[in-house]
Amino acid sequence: MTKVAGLRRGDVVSRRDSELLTTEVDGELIAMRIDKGTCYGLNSVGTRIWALIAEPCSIDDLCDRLLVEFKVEDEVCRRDVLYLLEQLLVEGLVTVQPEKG
Amino acid sequence: VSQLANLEIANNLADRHTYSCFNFRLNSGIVLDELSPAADPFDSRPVVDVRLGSLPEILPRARAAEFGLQMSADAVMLTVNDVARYLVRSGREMIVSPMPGAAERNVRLFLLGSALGILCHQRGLLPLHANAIVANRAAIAFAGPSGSGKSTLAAHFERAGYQLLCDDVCVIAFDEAGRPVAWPGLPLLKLWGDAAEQFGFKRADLGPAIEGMDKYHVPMVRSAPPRPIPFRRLYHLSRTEGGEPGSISRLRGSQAMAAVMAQTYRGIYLAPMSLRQRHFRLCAALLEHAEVYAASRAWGYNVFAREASALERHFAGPGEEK
Repeated sequence: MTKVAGLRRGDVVSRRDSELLTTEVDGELIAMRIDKGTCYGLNSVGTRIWALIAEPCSIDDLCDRLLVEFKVEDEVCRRDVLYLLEQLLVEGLVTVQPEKG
Repeated sequence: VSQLANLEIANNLADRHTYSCFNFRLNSGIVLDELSPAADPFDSRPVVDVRLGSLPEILPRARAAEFGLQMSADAVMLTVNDVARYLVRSGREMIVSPMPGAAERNVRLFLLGSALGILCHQRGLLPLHANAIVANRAAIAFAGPSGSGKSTLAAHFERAGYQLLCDDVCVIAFDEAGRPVAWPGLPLLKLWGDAAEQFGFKRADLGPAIEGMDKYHVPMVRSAPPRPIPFRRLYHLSRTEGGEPGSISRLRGSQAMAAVMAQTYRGIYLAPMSLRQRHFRLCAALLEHAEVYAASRAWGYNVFAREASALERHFAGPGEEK
């Protein structure tokens, strides 16, 4: 099981939409944390990932979708996704529910 | 008693002046020679009341914030030490209380600077720390740190035949269709003494912009009528190092957003005024219709004209595709 900073592939990721203001500029998502006023920008792949987790989904399901959409190796995809999600988690843009069972 | 009161009001009205100021007018008990009179009787822009008054050191039922601000439910009070206190309420009135011994010029400077910035924020406008010209019937704005030559450049483009919209503060509103429009600002350029003399002015003939500083108000030759101009581009100016030639590149996505946010006039007031969310939306709305460029320029009198021409060719051109 791949594990980065406590994130597991079966964990379910949700966006903290109610805590954020978001907009898209030139196809890049920009989010502002309402409580702090801090702004974050995502590149085009990050913006696609943001769209894919509009409904809470597991990291595994997210990676499966990305493997279909992007030409990327399975291992690279999982590593990059975990790295991005870890940052989003640290910055308070997403929450993570532990894997069930 | 009521007759006397009426007489007093009438006297006050006789002393009042109406000035053009972005997409509103100032009805002022203070003479503001920096502004153009709003003379058109059919002018339907809303009116903001400006008057002298006495303001307490501590605003009742207000919370103190950074930057000399105190916030109450509907008003912001700005204290500028040794100059004045300014109360700006509901985007509709400004009360000015000068400190003893303050130079009048400086009282007006902060009234038409920081206090006006607060008013613009309250009115839901997006003020940028930039000057702007009209090219191809659209507003082109130039921002950049102090010393990047914004005003000198504006004076240069004015001499080259472009209409100047504003110096220092470019106020953006949104039309019924949600498109950004820039409104003409103060019809003055602030230039350093040496720059002003380069453009053929004499220091002695000009009014200093700030008491005791070698900076002057130079009148615009072709100040713009009070009408909105579609806002098209923002150039963020910087200097190149060691005489390297300049370059211009499009900023996109979060870089463009960051530039607009950073160039917002008196943007530091947005957090204490609890206006960051609306500001975020205004910046996003601007970028739906406008382009942002980073423009670096080599520095020095000998390359000024060459670098200004490069910029002119760029803003007169089609720009880069989305």
